[in-house]
Amino acid sequence: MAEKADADMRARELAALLADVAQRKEAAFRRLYERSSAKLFAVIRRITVSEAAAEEALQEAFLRIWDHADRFDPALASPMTWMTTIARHTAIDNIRRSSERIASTAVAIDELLADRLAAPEVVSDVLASRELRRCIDGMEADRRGMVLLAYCYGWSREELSRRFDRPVATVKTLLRRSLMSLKECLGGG
Amino acid sequence: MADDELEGLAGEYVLGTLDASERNEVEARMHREPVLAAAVAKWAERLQPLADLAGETEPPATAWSGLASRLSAELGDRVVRLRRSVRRWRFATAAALFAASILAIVIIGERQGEPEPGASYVAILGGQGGEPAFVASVDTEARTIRLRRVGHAPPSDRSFELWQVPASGPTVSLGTADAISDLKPLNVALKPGELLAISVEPKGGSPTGKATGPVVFTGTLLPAE
Repeated sequence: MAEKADADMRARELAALLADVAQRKEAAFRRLYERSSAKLFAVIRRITVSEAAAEEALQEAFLRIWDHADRFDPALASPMTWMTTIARHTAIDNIRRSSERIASTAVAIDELLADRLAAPEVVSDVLASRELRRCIDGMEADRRGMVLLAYCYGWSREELSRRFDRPVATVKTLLRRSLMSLKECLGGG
Repeated sequence: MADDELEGLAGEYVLGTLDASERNEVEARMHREPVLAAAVAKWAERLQPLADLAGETEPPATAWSGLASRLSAELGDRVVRLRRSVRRWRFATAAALFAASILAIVIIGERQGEPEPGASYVAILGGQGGEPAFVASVDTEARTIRLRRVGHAPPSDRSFELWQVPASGPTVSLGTADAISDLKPLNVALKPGELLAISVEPKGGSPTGKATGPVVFTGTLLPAE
């Protein structure tokens, strides 16, 4: 419960910083960077192929955060989630622009990933994470692989199509079905 | 059915498997369709524990310094565009003044060009985006100019400096503008139609007496009433 209160406090602090960044306060931007860059860098680092590409994507992500801070709506999402979406999309843009990624798709699916889902020391919302783990565990292996590779490593439909030897259109259908079953399993809300 | 399509699109948007054009379309639609924006936000929350799993990795120290310089480079681009618009405005101001002076000759010939005693003028100085950054008010009787900052402060190692930009001839410094509100003595006569500009200078103001840094805000003096 203490962790929950802690997480709430951190979220409130980040939301206040984002509001200041929307007012073009550079000191708040610096603080926001200090508070969130290690998490975002870890997320980006999983997607990009090199440390240099990750650094580039991190900078771009923060420029987007600076530009769009006024669009952050605390009623819709938590600040870390909002920034994570921006960071992941920026990293994904970067790898899809470059060709080096195609050659290095030998990343093994991290089978441990799902097991680690309930590790409270890294996950901010333990309950949500246990639920998600239960639902991901319940998925058929290929579908679970597709969802995890896409979300954690930024794999495209084309990359998934090669890895799982299915047509791109089938990958799209499978991804959407997997998402629907995941949503249902999580209670649909 | 339509619900499934929207949910699938929102989910894939968060998952990152949409191609660039599909993603751009979702982003454009999110502004107009709160239902889609809410679906995207829910998907992001549902899957966030997977992002948390990445843990924390301290980025290299160069990441922040690079970011800071990219941010000021972005500001620099805006400034180049502003400089162009200042030149355009100068021309437009000159043309407007010319038209006004003809009118003045026709209507009240003898008062042409002379500032009224005790008059007050205001200018709203803004940047490229049009948002106001400073409000300047001139009191010609007291010979003062009040500058009220409504935008953000200059970077801590820089000063804003206010300039009179005549239609021809050199710009004249009216002093630095770092305080949130500042009442300054006026060393020049200012008239309606006069262009004011604010540049970014080394701390304490331009060392040369001319603007050395980028012009970030401009505005034209108008009669206050």
